[in-house]
Amino acid sequence: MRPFRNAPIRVKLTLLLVGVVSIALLLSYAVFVVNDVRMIQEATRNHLSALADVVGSNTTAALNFTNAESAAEVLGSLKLEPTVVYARLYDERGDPFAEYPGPTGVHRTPPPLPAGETFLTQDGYLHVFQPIMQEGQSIGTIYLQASRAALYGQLRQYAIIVVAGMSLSLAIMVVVATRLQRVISRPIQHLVDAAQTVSAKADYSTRVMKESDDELGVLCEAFNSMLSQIQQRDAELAQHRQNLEQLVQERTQSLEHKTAELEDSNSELIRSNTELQQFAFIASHDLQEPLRKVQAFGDLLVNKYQDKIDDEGRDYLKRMQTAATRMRALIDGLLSYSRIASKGQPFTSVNLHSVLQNVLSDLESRIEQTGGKVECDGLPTIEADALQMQQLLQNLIGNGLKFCHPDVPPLVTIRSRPYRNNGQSRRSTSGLASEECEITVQDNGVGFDQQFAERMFQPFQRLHGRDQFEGTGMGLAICRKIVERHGGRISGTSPPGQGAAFVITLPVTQSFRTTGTKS
Amino acid sequence: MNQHPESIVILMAEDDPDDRMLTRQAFKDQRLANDLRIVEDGAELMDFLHRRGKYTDPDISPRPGLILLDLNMPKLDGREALAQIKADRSLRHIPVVILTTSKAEEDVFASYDHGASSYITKPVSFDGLAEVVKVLGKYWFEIVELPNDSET
Repeated sequence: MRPFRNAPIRVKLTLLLVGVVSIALLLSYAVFVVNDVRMIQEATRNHLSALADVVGSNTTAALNFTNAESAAEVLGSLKLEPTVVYARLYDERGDPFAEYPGPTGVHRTPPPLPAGETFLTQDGYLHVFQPIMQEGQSIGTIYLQASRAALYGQLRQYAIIVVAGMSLSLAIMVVVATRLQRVISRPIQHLVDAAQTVSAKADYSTRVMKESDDELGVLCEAFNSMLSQIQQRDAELAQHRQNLEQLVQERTQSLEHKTAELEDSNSELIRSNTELQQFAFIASHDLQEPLRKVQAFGDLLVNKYQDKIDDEGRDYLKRMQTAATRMRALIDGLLSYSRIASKGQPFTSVNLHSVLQNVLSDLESRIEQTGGKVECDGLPTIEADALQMQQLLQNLIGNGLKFCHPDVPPLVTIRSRPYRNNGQSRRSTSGLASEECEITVQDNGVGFDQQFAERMFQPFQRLHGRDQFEGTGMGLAICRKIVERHGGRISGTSPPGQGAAFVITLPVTQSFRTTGTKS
Repeated sequence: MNQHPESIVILMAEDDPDDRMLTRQAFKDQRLANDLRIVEDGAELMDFLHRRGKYTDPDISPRPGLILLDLNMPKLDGREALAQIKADRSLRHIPVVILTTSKAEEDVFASYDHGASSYITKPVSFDGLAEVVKVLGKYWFEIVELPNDSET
């Protein structure tokens, strides 16, 4: 069946039906034919046996009288039996006595004479040896050779019948089988078509038509229910996917929205910060204008109307001008404070020791006046805004000279040492170790109450009365703002009776920071 | 040939009336006899110099020998006015002295960069202003030579 392995099922089914029926037919034909052949052979044998009997008894006299002519005559009567092609008569001793050459007269050699009655089938002929009995004694033997033409004719006839019958049966079988196989092959074909449609178009709405309640019907139902499940799962999956897509889209939108909001608020923050700095700068700048007038007209009053104002009036004028001077100092402080961020210079390499020398020369008269001393064992070179470094040191050293005990000459000591930052500073976002330097400005003055250690860095914060120490309260605020712009830290400590110490930590390089340059 | 110093017209651009008054007073106190003309903003200054608008009559808009210029003014501020003066072939020889309240580094630098002859921060006190006017008068009308203006 190998050549049919890939043949369609309907072909296989048809072949199967036709094959089975053909085999059955062939078998029954075979049984029938074998039986018939056996019966024909039996009949022929009987017939020949009877014939031999008759011819034998007719030759008894001829044998008794050894009359060969008479015997041949008797044998000649066999011409009426066309199947007998040859006959011979043996005498008592077994020698040929007479013969019948048959209708064709062809000489034939019989098989050797056996003892007793014998039937042989040899060379396509039937051979019969029959002893001739007389009074219980054998007086000779008759031999007949008969052709099997009748049998062959019969067989030929059978063959025609078988072939014709088989052909007709086959034709009918093919028709019937073709119809019968549809019962099985059609549902299968439907299943195949449906499966192909599903796999080709991914169309899970396809259904197979059920034609019966047998196994194929069950298969169709199972297939349909499988398709239904797939369709349902497909729909669920599509729904899930849609939900997921929607969810992703919603999240993306909300994220975009939030990012936009963040960007907005960030730029808003930058804008308002810039505005605030601009505002502080412009406001303090504009505040100076009317103040200058107050002072100028006050001067004019003092200059031109000195004689016309009494002492009390002059005192009022003096107080007014003192207040104006103080206001000027406050505004100057505010202006400096606001300029740190808005008007800062880009960072360059600054030798802090040279900066310190400038500061000391600026403070020279103050140091002389107070009899004070400023000591320093050397400062490093760092990346910074030189002017702001000068302002920083000036404010801190100035404070040290200012807040001194009345009867003790001020001593300001400046020390510096490298400071290894292990990336833990809030400024060092890279997490890398960055080099910093630590500068301590220590004085021997009055110090401050430790509880104000943080507050004194706020603008306009003063810890002393104006009659005690001059000042606007902006100095340390400016210091902190400068240090923070450089990415550093500043703090103050004041152990009782040991003056004040301000510790500044500044990065040696500014390259890792992106901020700090002038906007 | 030097002009008679007192014939030199000084043109002051100042938006603040108090400052105008104080400056006039300082001129008076220092006995500077020069003709002090005052305009109130940069636009008016340019009208005066170009003899436009209400300054078409040359009698009321003589060529100044020195300009005192405030930086922060409405309409056209001093920075722009300075740039326009120094960009104009017929005006750029006139010395411009910036007299302003601003101490900002960038204003100082930008003013000289644009061709200002001096930069003075307005003194806080009247005495300071009087001193500035005195020194200005001595410097510009006694010490230095100013160019002769062909038009005057």
